Amino acid sequence: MYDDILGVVRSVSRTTPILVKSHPRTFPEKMRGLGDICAKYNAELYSRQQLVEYMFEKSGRHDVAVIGPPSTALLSTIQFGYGRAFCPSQQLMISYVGHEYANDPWMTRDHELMEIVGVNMFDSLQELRDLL
Amino acid sequence: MYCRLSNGLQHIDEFSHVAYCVGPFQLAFLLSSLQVSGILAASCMILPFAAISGVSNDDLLKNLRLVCEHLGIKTCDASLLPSPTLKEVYSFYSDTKRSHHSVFWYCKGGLWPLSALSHLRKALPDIVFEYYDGFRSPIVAQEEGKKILSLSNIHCFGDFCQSAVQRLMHPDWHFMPDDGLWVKYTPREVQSRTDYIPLSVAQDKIRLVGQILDEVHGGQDTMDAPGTVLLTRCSQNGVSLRHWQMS
Repeated sequence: MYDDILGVVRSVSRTTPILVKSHPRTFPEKMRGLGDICAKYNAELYSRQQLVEYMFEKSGRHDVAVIGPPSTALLSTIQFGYGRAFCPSQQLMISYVGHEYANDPWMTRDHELMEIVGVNMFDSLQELRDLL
Repeated sequence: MYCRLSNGLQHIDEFSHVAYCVGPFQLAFLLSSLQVSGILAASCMILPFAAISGVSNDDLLKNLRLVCEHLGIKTCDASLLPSPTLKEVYSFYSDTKRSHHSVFWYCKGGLWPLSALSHLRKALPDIVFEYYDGFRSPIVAQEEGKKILSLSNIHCFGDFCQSAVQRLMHPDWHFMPDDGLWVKYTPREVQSRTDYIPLSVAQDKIRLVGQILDEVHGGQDTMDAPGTVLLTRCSQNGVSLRHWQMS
């Protein structure tokens, strides 16, 4: 999934700086896999700092595109005006993650919440490309 | 400082404050809530919430403790977590309960804090304050509350514990970001017991906590915000790595 999304971002811009920010409780094995994918797309993997919001605060930028599953950072992007937020729809997530994701009521609520607050939902990679 | 509570006007700064906190981001909102309440952060003891089995929290706990230490905030010994029998916490409660009333601060987060419930049973705080970190909105919190209260086996916990659950689901006071969205979806009943955190205060605390993290990391994490950020959060809700395709 990261491979696909990074590919979309790179197809839109070859030069835009890309940061992959993992969740602070991400498994080490997953981090290693992410590192390989990031290297492929010239993206930086960032895992130590928990407050991605602080990076935005410090930079003063308001034009960041934040892409990912439902998260606090997506909401913060909207709430504090850091830029635009994009979230794969639950169906798209299921196509990557599997039906365990569909059966998790937390996930369903999280996706609903993202829509409520104004996060851009996308059902396909093409839709993400168009939105970007 | 006075706080308007359902049981009357009270001197809130005379109470002992104990707060549940997951990590640095929640800490920023807890600090914001404390500021709004006129409570000194150093007078609050923090219980790092790390009861998430199968996921490494070492880095999260370490960072939270470092920031708290920097701010002069006491934390309980993380090595005791996630045991529900936190002797240090119990001792803290026992000592403070002798001479003070206590306030329990609890963030409406994504995980149901069973260990928080356990502490609540033991401590029986006088007041429960709920603060929000912005992710789980009042809308979601309400839905979760209905679900938990409708659990058929809740009687198994006993009346004592059921009372604790009720207190967690119906806290005395709420602290949430002063954002149009949350205010719009907050029920009137809750609004009457809510203090709103100005976004500027939350941003100040984000900068405060972020700066401390930068300092303790020796500036290695300093970077400008990039044009694009990709995020992942699946591990938080227990989605296993094997279900998360990497290609």
